[in-house]
Amino acid sequence: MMLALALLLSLATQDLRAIMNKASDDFRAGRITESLRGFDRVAALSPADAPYLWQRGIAQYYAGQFKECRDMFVSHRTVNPDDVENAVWHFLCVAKAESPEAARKQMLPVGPDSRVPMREVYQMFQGKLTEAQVMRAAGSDPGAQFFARLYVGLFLEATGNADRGRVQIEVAAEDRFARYGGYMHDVARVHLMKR
Amino acid sequence: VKGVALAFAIAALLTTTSASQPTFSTRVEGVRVDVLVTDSSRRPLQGLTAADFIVRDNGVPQQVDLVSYGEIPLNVGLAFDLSESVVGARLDQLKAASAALTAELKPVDQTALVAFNHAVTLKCPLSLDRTCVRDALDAANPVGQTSLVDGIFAGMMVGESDAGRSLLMVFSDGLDTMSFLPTERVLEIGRRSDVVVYPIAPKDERPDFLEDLAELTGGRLHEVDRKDDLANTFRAILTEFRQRYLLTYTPRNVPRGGWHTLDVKVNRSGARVKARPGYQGAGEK
Repeated sequence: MMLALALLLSLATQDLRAIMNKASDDFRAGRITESLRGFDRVAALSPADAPYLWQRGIAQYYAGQFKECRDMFVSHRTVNPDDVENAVWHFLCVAKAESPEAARKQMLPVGPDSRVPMREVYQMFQGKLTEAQVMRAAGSDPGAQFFARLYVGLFLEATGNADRGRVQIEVAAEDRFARYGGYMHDVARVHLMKR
Repeated sequence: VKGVALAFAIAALLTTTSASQPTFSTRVEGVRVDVLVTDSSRRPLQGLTAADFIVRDNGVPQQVDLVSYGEIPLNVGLAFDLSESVVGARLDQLKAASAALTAELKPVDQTALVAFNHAVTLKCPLSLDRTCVRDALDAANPVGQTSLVDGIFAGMMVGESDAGRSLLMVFSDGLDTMSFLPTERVLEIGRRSDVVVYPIAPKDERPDFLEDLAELTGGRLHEVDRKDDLANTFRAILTEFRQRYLLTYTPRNVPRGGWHTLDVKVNRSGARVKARPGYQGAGEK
């Protein structure tokens, strides 16, 4: 029966991908409501895929659905347990829904995320490292620079330093980082649009 | 976030189903066909045995191995339109009809509820819990537009997720305005699904595809007036579904894959048979 279900779902794979792509395009264009509607629909039509939809969690964040995005990142951890970015976005959602202190207490555990400077980013959100230490760990590699700028900026904003955070996110959103940041570069751009 | 997470599960699903599934070259899958048999007055014919049925698979007569009648637990899926058109008296009718339906279920029968408006939500997963549907409808606040096609798709997927015998009752009060999936795709899936779909819709506002879907899955469209008592309709559908036969046979002398046309007859004078028109054989999508 499960095989039959999978086969039936596979008939709709192209349609589900199309919905997913449209939702991503809507997000990139700053159409958060439309974007979230698409991600939500994919989750409803194919519940087995729902935990993989981290983009949905980010859209929920920008839609102000902070409890929902917290739950989304908890769910995503079940299929991607090592990822630091997942734990960070969970922090951001809890910080908005409750407080930065609550977010720190509830930080999701992560595994070995080898991307520089993800380990330092995680420790910064834990309160064990400073923003400057994260930037130093990133060094001169443009990809590492992008993620350091983005997450230092988001951290500063979440912990009450919005102006300093915006400066970092503005750098992350510069075109030169587009090839390194991918979807997350779009997130940086949309973040500036929505603030 | 994350290069690793970009491995989207839908792609993984395809890989799982087509490449990594073990192939049992000597295994022959049984085919299940849900069949309604009525007399000339449209009353269900009871007491039939395997010997009374003539099943042709792609035109080739088959040996019916098993006939089950009212013995297998049911999965009763409900896919309800909770858009703004259902506000007020219609919602009250829907609550009363659902209560009447669940009162008729046996302890082993499961229920599920998918609600659709501008969103599609699995309000109650398939379970033995009798309170979830009631509570979800009590809390319902009908708003927004109608995603009928997507709601039906989600309902069929719920039915397919369990090995029981699945009925999907779809109620909609209006035309589809918000679905993402094309109608043709859901009809295509309906042809291949074991779920039997019984749509309930207003006489003057029912989309044509509901009749096609009912026909393809072996179900029946019920058209209702605004003043009609939905509880009677719901009970009638459940009763009819219980009085269906579940035939099982092992296909012989036909290729396994591809589309199989089914023809089911009963050797009783005046008998009318309603069953799905075919199924997708194992080995091909």
